[in-house]
Amino acid sequence: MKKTCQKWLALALCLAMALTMAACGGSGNATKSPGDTPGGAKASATGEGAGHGEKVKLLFAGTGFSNIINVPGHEDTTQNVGDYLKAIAAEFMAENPHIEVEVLVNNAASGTTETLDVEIASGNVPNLFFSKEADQSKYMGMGMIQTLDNYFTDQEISDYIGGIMTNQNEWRIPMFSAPKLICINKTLFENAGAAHLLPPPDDRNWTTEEYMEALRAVNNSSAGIFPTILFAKTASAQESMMGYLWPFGARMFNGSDLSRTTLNSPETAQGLTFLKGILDEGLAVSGPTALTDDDMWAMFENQTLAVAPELPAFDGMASSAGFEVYYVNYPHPADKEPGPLWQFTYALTVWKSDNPAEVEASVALAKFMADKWAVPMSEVCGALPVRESQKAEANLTGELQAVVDLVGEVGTVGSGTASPAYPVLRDTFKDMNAFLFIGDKTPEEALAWFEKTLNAALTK
Amino acid sequence: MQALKKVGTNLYRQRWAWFFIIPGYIIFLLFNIIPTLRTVYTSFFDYNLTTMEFAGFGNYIKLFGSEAFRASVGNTLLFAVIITPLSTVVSLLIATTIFPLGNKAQSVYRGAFFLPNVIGGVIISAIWLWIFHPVYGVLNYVLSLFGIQPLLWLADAKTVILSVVLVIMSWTCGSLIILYVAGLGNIDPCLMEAAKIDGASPAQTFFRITLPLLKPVTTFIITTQLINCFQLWEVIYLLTDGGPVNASTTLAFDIYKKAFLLGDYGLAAAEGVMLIVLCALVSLTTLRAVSGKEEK
Repeated sequence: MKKTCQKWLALALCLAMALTMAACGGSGNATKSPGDTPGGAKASATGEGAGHGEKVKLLFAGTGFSNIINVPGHEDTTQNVGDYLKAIAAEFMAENPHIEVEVLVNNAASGTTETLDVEIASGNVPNLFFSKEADQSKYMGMGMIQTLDNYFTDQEISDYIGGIMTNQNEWRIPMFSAPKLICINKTLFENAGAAHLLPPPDDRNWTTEEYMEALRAVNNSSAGIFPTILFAKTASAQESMMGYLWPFGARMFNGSDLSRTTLNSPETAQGLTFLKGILDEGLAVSGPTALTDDDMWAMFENQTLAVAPELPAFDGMASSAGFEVYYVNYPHPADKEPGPLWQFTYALTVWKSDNPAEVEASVALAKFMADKWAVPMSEVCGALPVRESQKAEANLTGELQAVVDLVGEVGTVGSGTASPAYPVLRDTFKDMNAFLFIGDKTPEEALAWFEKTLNAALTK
Repeated sequence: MQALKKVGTNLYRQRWAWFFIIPGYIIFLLFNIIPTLRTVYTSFFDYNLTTMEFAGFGNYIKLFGSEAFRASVGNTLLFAVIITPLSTVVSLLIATTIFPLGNKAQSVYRGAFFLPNVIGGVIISAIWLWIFHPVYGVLNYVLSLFGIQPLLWLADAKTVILSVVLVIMSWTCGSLIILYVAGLGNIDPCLMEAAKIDGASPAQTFFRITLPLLKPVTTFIITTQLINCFQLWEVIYLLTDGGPVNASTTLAFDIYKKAFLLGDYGLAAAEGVMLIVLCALVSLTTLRAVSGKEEK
């Protein structure tokens, strides 16, 4: 009896194993080993492409940003994280019945693209990917992204606001963006009787001396209110730290030449000395090498942080937490003009494929999304339209309109997001700041180290 | 021929054993052996998820020139050298302290010490992140009560290793205590009584009887702790992100970073191979050192 039971148990186990293996086998399409498709080309899921009566199949990947839900005008179909991708795909397929779009949501929780990487390694290479520009540059470096110069008309290019397009080797279609700037809890300054130290609404620029004076005036760390925060624990949001350097004249690269960094300059050293001065004077939360932008968000929400270098995305938080938010430029040295702002861009990238029909269809989907979804999506992200023709459609608050005007006034600057080594750049920049903050290197030494490390990666 | 027949007979006799064990072997093959072999293979290529170009020993050469790799090897060994003996000694001390207590008290202590294991590394790290916070941290608050200046536990290269060790200890010691308590329970009480009658001091009893009889448990604990130290990832990911400037980065964390953040999968695979080699070497050496006398 006992032996019969054992036999049945063993048979059940084997059956369970077989079923598991079968389930692991996947649906059967697009499972070709990525190593077998040289050049990063995805094997056509429809054989030789879109012949007569054949559907073009696309894999549309996008990051499941938690803030892209309840998109205005599409509230009923975008209630959950990642729903917006399905809604866009459904609308596009209704208009283009010869194209079938499968959606893949990249989990944004880890802050990286692990979900997508695993899919790619399994043979599911996307045709189109929507995410932050910083997430996309890794795939640029891997040679997976299709350049789009032949797909943009001059009229389309000229519609984008200045500084957004690269004007050669266009590798992404910008959807919307927001500049990194200085976000101020104006209520804390008013409570400290220091609101008059802030730049006036009609000229949102200030000098480094004025900035330091304002920080000193609002400093009340014994009561748990900190003037500002610097962070160098993770590579995330390092562009916030870079923003302090641009007004000093620091530049990551010389124009469009991304082969060598030009950050190691006396101007950058001056900017880093200024940053270190903020920390040394006790005007920033101590321990920046253990702090991230998440700490900044939490402290700003709790109203224990007066100044946050971030995107102008605090309007909703401010109204629910009961404080007034005010956006201004990064401080600039008195002998220099106000600095340009770096644009945090959400974009679409079309991926290389052996099948021209897939590329064509991907570009069509990308343009569909950029035309119809950019404005409502920018609203939920607290970002700004990147096309002149879409500015009128956007429903901007007074503060966001002021940011648009500020960008128009001071212009934009690049940090090298189009560089294949951008992930290394961010990580190296974070480590350079960490060296500076823990006092292991002087600004000049830290910059020399940064230059050496980054150039080694760029020449790879 | 007769030997072959004997093997055949044995296989037939053990057919049900094989039947039961084969699913396990298949899983082990699919999820351990094949990925390991694939990692070794990948380490000789420049691999970016879609293209593979043969690089020979290029990834290994690049690895040895990498500052982050050298730091991660140093830190991983440092964590292994500190955590393994420290957690072994601390758990043994706690186990020997709670073992003589009554059953109820012993259960309460075992449960209390084992609780962090149940919670898991992610939650433990999140709790410690709050404890270590440079501004709102409980630890600095306690220090301030004694007039001690606040420390930047995770932000300073001098204190970050100590902080991580503290977290690992609080997380892993519970299971080691359970193992030692079980080991102590297996020691024949007659031996203790005999030692007492013979006039042995408590220290003599511990070092001459208890400790040698706990040797199998200790060997197991040391080996698993060493392997755990080599696999240290989530605590580093959540607490320090390997910083400040690689001061706390480990091999496992550097592999993750090279693969998923920097997209250099060939290099990450080469580092994975180095991790396997290092882990095997250290574990075998330690195992031989710890259990050598027993074998003789």
